Amino acid sequence: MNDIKIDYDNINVPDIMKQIQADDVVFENSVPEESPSPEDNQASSEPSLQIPEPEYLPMVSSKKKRILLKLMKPFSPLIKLLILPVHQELRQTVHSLDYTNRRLDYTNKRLDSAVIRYGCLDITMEYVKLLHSLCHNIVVELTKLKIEEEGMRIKLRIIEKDFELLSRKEKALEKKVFK
Amino acid sequence: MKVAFVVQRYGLEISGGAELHCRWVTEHMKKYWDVEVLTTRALDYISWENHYSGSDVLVNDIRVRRFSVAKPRDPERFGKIQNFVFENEHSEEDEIIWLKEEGPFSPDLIDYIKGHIDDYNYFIFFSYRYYHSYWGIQAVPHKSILVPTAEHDPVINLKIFKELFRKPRGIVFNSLEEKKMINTISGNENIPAEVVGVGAEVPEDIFSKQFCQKYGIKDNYVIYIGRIDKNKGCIELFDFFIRYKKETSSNIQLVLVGSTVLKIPIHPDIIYLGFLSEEEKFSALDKALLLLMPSFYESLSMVTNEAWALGKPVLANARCEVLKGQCERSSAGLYYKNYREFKEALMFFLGSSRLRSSMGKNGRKYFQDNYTWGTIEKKYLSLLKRLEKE
Repeated sequence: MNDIKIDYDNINVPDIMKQIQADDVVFENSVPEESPSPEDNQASSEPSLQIPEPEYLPMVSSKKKRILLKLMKPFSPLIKLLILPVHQELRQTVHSLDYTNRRLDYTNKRLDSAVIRYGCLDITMEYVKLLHSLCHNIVVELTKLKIEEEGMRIKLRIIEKDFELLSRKEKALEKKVFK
Repeated sequence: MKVAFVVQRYGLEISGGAELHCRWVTEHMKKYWDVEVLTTRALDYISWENHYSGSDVLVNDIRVRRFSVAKPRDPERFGKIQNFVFENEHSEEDEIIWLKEEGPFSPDLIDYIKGHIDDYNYFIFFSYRYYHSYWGIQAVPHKSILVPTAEHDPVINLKIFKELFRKPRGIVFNSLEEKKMINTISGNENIPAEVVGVGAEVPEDIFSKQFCQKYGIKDNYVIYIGRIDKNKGCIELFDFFIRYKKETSSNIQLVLVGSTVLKIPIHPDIIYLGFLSEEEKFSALDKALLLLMPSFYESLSMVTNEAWALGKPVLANARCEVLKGQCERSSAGLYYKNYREFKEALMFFLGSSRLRSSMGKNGRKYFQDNYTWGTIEKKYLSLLKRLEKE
């Protein structure tokens, strides 16, 4: 919010509102700062698990591989298995699989802990909701009773006044009768 | 001078709206005029069922003549007719049917007025939108004074009322905005009128500390007083307040006072206290930092005046022209028409005790100048004096 200038001895409400509305324009035109969502906050508070990225070894280019395969076609598949650098591909696949497995483990652990934590939270929230409903209902009932009490009190006052009026009437009538 | 106040309901049990306004004015003008109240037996403003038994009673030493409601309102039927009238092309006859359905339908009250025109110097009608005002003014236009208590809602645009506003001898408006609205609709600038409103009385004993202790409230709160209802802008208020709390780290609380027809949202900083006595209400208001007034439709907000009487600033809904106008004239309140403005204005208020105290001072002065009962009484007397001269 920009500083709003005010003459406190002579407050001018439309002027203050103009300044507030000008701030509005600034707000609307500027890109709002993204506030982290609760999930993000949750994630940031989690202990971070360092999963090493798989190492990718240099591979033989596909063109060379094709020429070699053509030359050694007669000895295939034995040579292919023994001589060609197929083991690198295998290693890479194993690495990837290992990395994926570890990520899965980590995600499962996070999921389990979240389920436990949110489960408790849900129960607490339900209690809070119930308590709130209870308080709300109590206040509503008390309000009704209060209104009823006020009504009764007023009625009593009216009856008292009617009674006074009738007493006065009675006295006046008595006077007239005894005259 | 004998003056009859004509209103849809009258009784000590009725604690708000035009009815309370009428009762207060009647009780204050009693010392100048011979006053009587003409009303119905109804207590419930939805059904208008006959409730009061006595037809001629004293209420706070004022004679009240009550007339039966011939037919209570059928809310379902009324709703259908109202939807038709508000949403479709229709005739004046349809509007007359709507008026009869709206009620309180009490032909006896109108017959009494017709039969006793000479018994009274003036008839002061409260609330233009009901049966008693429309037909009452038709019966005694030359002796009638209308207190419209009009709001900027769809009813004001009905054709029958355009004519009605040109009929009375005098009009007592609640605010300049109401006057402007009715003048624009009906072109009745030539009718003698006064902008008066209604006064407020602050109880002598205000126990704000005890109040906070009793309800376990910290003294860092803003307050809303009134019926907790959608029409009063409360849903928007809850939404804005909860967003405000989320977006700022403010520890401010919202205290709600009044009967509710809404489910109040679950939030640890929204505290609902229900209906309070006048003393407690003023104690709550006295300890609040400011009053929130989110209503869309008001002809005059009594609680706003009460807040100013106590030197409390107001944050009001700008979509209600009356509240906006009052804030500007008094220099004692800010207003908002969207969340951004609500947030900015509230932050500004809460962050500056100097602003709150300056605006509070202005509010107190505005109240003293315009809404003490002495001023209100003078304005009524001056209007009738003007009418007498004419």
